Amino acid sequence: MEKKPVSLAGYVRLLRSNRNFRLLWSAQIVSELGDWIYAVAIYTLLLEFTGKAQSIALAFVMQVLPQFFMAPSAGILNDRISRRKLMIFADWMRAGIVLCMILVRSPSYVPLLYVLLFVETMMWALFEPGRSAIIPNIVPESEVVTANVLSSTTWSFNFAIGFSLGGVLAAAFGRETVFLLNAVSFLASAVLIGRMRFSEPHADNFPPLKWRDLLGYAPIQEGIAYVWKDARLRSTILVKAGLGLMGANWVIIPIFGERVFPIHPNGFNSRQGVMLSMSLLMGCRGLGAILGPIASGYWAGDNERRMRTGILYGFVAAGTGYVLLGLAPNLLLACAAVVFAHAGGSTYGYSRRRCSSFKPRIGSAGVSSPPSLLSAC
Amino acid sequence: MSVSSYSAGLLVDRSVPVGYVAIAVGTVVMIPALLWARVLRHPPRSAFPD
Repeated sequence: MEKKPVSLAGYVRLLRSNRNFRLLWSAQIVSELGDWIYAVAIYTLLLEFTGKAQSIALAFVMQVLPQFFMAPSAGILNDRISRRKLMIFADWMRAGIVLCMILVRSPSYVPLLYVLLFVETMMWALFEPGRSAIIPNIVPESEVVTANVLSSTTWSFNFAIGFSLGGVLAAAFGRETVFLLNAVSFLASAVLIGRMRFSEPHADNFPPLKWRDLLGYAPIQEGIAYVWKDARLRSTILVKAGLGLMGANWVIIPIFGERVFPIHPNGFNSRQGVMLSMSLLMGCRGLGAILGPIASGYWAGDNERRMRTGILYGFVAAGTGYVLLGLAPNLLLACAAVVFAHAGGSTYGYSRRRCSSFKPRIGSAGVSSPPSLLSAC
Repeated sequence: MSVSSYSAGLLVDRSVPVGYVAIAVGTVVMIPALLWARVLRHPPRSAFPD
């Protein structure tokens, strides 16, 4: 089948011609924007109540680790039951969970916040494989790549816009408003997904779901064995693990916003100034994630050798960016360093999406197959 | 990512200036860069079939 090139015109054509994808994409926009909008509120709340950088790190761990542990169960559930219903369920649950975060009004409630973050991430881990897996159900094969690239590009835009808006909204209207907005965004996502109409034949050939199936970690073991046998995938995993070193940015950037470069615009108190500064720096991180793949695409195009070299340049840019951030004398230069670092860090994403050397050979297995392992890493 | 972020939090809470932590992260990121450069120079067999 002829594959249509990925272009702006391709995105527009896909969105105009495919109602189901349009609804799914809209749901992605509202729920992801909500996610990033409320992150600044969470980080400033934790720093205010605990005064410890580790509190942010723990929140980040609660937002990452459940993804790995939920991957097998989420994959099996998405293989066996309606993905559409599962996504709607996850959205409703997340709306309720985020609303409960309004209860966190004193330091004694911080443990509750961690539990809520953990459960919310479990719901995200249920939702996300379904969202990725239904794209081939609702999009013609020739447009699957366009749909996937549009989805991942949208993530970067949502990150940049959500974080930039989040601090402003939290500073202007308070954290509770931001939590409420996030809950509403999940409800809107559930409504949009509920309006999608498509068949889901994926579960027809599977035996009925049993509880013990959900605890099966065999797919992870199979994934490790699969990756270990293939030099290409081993390299991919190592690159991805190397990028994991940049996970420290989830602590470093908020702390820069709070302690190094808080801003004090007229009409805002110091707490609101911290929110704005954090929001600005995290927004720059998102801007880097947008610019990196664009620069990579411009320079490498479809040349796989250049894409691989681009990953090296990306790593160097990421490392240099963080060194420059550490040396930055003011907020403006710190913002520029963050953009540079994360433009470098996101070149891997471009190469992974476009370069066949980074695409695992996948059989007919569903979302519980080795790609889940890649995403977990 | 979890280990990296938690270590950063630990260092900051032990009064290491966050700027130094950022510089350390930037330096450590160069290690996979060097490893990747080595892979590009001496690719493992079947790693990048052309």
